Amino acid sequence: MARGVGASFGRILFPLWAGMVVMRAEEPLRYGLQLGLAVPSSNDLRVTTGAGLNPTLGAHGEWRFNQKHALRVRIDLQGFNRGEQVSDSPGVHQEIGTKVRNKSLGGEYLQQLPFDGQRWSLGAGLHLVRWTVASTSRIEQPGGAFAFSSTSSWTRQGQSLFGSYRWDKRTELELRLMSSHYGYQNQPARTLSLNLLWHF
Amino acid sequence: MTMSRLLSIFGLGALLLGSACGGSTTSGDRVASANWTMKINPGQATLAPGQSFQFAASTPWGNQTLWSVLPASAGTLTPAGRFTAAGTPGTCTVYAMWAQDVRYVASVPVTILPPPPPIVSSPNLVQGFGSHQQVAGTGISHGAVGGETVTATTATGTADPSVSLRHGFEPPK
Repeated sequence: MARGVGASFGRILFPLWAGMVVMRAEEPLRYGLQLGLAVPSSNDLRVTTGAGLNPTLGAHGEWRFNQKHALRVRIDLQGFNRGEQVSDSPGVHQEIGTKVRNKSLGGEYLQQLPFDGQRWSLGAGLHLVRWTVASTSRIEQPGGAFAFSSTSSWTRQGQSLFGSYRWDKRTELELRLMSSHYGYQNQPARTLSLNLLWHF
Repeated sequence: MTMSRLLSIFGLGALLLGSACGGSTTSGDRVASANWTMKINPGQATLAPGQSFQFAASTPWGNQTLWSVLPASAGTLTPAGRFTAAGTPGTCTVYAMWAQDVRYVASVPVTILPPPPPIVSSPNLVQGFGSHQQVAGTGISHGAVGGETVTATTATGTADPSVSLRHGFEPPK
């Protein structure tokens, strides 16, 4: 497991390091924060989490090497609304409450598009995603009820695709699709998010 | 372009994302389908009052299990899954939840039988006519169920010498 996580780290960080060596930065390193709203876009995550928009929060560092290319390292925290599933069969009532959240560390490549003052960018990234699922399961039937709780975590690799619009030097709007897996059955977990980035 | 316009676009995008939340789906983590990966062996049990039975639960990823029985008055369960039936006949359900992720649940029905009537066996029992007899013998409180070990108790008594016994056929006089 540790070896697998280390290998994933290598896959993410080595391209960033190589990019920094090969390219010559024309602008200084920049840092920033991002804030956004996300929705699950894969079936399992939609069922497991609650309805509505889910907040995301994070920080990033960016190296813009020239007018076309940039590399970005980012950390994101994402919390999903609590999901409730209810099942009724003859004589038995079952409720499962689930709270899903994740933390991700990733590296991304951005390509600026050659129009509209190069405000538009497309990019892709690799991430390590730490998923945590806290569940409570309650069963009720005539004569009594009981409930147990558990919390499980998994570290999985993730991939992202995104497009962004740079409003000015400090502000950027980003639409991002993040794909990963989670759970003991390794179900697909994809999220679609709209983020606002502030560059310091 | 102003910051307020940027925020307006952000809000509009959030609205579009929100509209994508709905829709019916299928999932491996649904309540109705979460049970398939956890199993309890055996799949059912029939016990006598007071009898104990060991259940075993498993998932593909480990065996740490949280046990419970409903109704709770039907018996007791140890953390290791050993169930002891209470004294009241009836039916109950034994549940197992996987300790690592309680969304995985399995259950088995358990039937608790009424106590069977007492059984008395004695090689010294002799059939007599019209009289009561007392014999030395071994009695057990109830019959064994499902391989249960039953402790025998010995009863002692005295024979009544006034009892006349009839052996075999007596021709008419």
